[in-house]
Amino acid sequence: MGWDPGRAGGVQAVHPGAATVARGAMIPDDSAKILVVDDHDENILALEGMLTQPGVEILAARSGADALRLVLRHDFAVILMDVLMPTMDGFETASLIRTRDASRHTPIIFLTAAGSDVDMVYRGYAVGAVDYLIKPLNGDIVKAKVSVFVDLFRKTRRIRRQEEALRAAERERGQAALQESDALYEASFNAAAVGIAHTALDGTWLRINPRFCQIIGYSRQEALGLRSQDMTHPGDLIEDERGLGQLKAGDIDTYHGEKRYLHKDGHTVWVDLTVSLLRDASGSPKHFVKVAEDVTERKRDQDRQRLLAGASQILLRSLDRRTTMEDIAQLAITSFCDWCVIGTMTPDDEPAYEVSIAHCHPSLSPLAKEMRQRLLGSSSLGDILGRNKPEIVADLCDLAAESWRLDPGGREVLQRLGCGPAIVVPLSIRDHTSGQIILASATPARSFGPRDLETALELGHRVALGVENARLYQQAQEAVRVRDEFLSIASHELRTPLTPLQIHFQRLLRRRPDDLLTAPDQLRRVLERCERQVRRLEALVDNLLDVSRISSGRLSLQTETVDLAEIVRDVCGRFAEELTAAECPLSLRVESSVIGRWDKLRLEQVVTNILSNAIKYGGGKPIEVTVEGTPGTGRLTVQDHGIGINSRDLNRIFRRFQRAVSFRSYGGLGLGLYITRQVVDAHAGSIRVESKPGVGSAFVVELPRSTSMLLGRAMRSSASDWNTS
Amino acid sequence: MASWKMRTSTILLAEDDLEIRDIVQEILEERGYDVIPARTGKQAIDFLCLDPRSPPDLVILDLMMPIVTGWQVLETIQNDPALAKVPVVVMTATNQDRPTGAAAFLHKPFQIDALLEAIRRLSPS
Repeated sequence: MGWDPGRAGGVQAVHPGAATVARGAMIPDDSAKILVVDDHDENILALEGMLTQPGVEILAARSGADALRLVLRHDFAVILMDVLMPTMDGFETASLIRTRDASRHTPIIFLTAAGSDVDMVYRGYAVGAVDYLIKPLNGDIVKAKVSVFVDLFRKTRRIRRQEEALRAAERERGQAALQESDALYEASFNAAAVGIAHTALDGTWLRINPRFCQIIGYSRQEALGLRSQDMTHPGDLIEDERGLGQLKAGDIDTYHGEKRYLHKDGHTVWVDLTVSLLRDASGSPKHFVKVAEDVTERKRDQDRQRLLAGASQILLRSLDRRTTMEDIAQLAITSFCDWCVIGTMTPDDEPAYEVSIAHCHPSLSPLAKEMRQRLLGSSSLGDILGRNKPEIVADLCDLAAESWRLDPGGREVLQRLGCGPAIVVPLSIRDHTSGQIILASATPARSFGPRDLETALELGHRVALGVENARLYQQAQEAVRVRDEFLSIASHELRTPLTPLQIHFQRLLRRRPDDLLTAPDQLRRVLERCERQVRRLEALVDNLLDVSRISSGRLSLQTETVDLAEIVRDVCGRFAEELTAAECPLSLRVESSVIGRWDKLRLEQVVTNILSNAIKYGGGKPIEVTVEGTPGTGRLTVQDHGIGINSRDLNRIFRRFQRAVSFRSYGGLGLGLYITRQVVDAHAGSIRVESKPGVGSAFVVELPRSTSMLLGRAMRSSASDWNTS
Repeated sequence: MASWKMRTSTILLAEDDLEIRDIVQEILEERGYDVIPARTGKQAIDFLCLDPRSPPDLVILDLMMPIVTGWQVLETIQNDPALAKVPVVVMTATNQDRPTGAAAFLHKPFQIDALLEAIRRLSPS
């Protein structure tokens, strides 16, 4: 075959006294090593000769010690050992070999001379020999026995190798699966749409996914150095601690709640948070797993709804403008904004302007009050409130600088209240703007979006409606009150002349007809007095009718050439008795005639009204009547020194049903001056009054002597007559 | 023999309307009452305080009077222990005004009989 035994892993050079080592030759997988131990070289040679075969490496040792050295370094399929050796015999060597774990099971075949006694054989088996070979050795027997063990060794090694391969494969599969699972976990962790994070028990961030980073506004790097508490809203710290404590104690399995984080840029983020606790193998708490969902927008929506619903409730509840505005401003700061300004204007009411400011930080309330005062005192308040431009401004202080016209002190107050984004919306119904609402942020961090603006617009609309409704309701109530008061006064006025009239008639009716005839003068006097009462009644009724005619535009003037001085003299004469009774001395100062084209009856009415007022409210003090004229006009002045008129009422008294006195004190329909003014206006004239309470009043009427347009001019009432304020 | 003089009842009449005051005064004086007219609330109070120990036997009081109203006169009477016992007949144009402390109400325009009946009932006989 050409096979070279020197090559094929087999025969070693044998050096006397030395342990032999395989040198340089490639050992195929299936090679097996055999150890031959004999102190006689010729025996070793003989065995080598017998055992040489492909795939087998034979190592030789000449002593027990050599053999042990070799056993330490090689894994043998079988050891052939001579029993009788100097120094250490085979049995001793074998027991030593057996003490070593790796070679405990290496088959040992003892070589012994024939005739060994049975004891020796037993002893051999006792130290673990598997067989004996008797010398002289038979080559075939040796080969046969050795091959059994070599085969066994080879098979065992093959099985072991297969096992290892399987295990390695499994390990690899296991590794791959683990890696895949890790990768999957990593991917889920990073790609999740919710925030997932692990924190240590003290709150330090251990792992944090991109979404969580996004929610709180910190990068992974930044977060890992901090604790969850560091970015939790102060108001939620305690509740947080409590929940985590319960988790640690095992009272609950998961902790679920809504809380606020403070985003890195300062604004508040609401999250729906679920926390669970991971424990180690012994059950001790290891770290927290937190899952967070950003619900800020949902919360904002809730806040918006609450704002509108709350506003509607407030508007239903109260009719008072000031209270309503205060309540709405307070509502707005509870969750929609940091501070709020509401201003309204209703020029017909007293007061015309109203401003409410609320701030979410109680310590800033005094400043809010101060700003309110400044705005109320500002001359540009009307412009500010009339601005009809709904918008979100980036910085309220910029807007204020432009249109509020604050002095440096006011600007500072504004800065301290807080400058940032703000929503400015008008209070408006249809096209009419009656005020403003400003929903402001105290820091640049909080921002407003389109939905917030929509909500604010709706709020502005509702508040405007509410305030207007309240105003109309109050106006209606006031109108009803005025009407009722008028009716009761009218009733009194009409009853006053009726009373003596009634009494006179009663007395006359009781008299016997003869008695009546016997005292005709007395009868006459009574009838005159009755007539006077009837005329009083007539005047009252005329007043009422006049008012009715004026409002329907059916009253017209009938002008003729008349002397004002004469009219005044006549009227003063008619009041003579009343003046005496009232103990009011009247002084009349008249120039010569004052001629003009006027309506005689109407002028009499004017003079009568003014004079009777002077007597009524004159307090028994002197009255001065003056009639004078310039080339173009005639002037009548009636001056009394009575109770006077409050400056607030100076314009009011000329309006219909208006009286400046309490109706417990004075009767009177409140129509006299109204009709007077209508008549004077119809003559293209003017009437004015100067008065001081407690000092007296002076009414001055000026009439142009003639106007071509007067003829047929009708007196008309105007809308302002209906005002009840 | 001592003559026994029937004491005349004194009535304070407070009414600002000239016509009413005159006619009522006439009617009462015809029936033997002693009438003291007052044109204003102030005049009424001045008279009452003049001699509190001998107040009038009756007061006829119009409620609506300028400056010092009938209401105020009534209050003055009620608050003064010397005057509180004096009966007050209140004249009013409205049916709603019913101040407490008035002994009788006359609703204008009233019947003469009603007035006289009230006076008879309330004044000492």
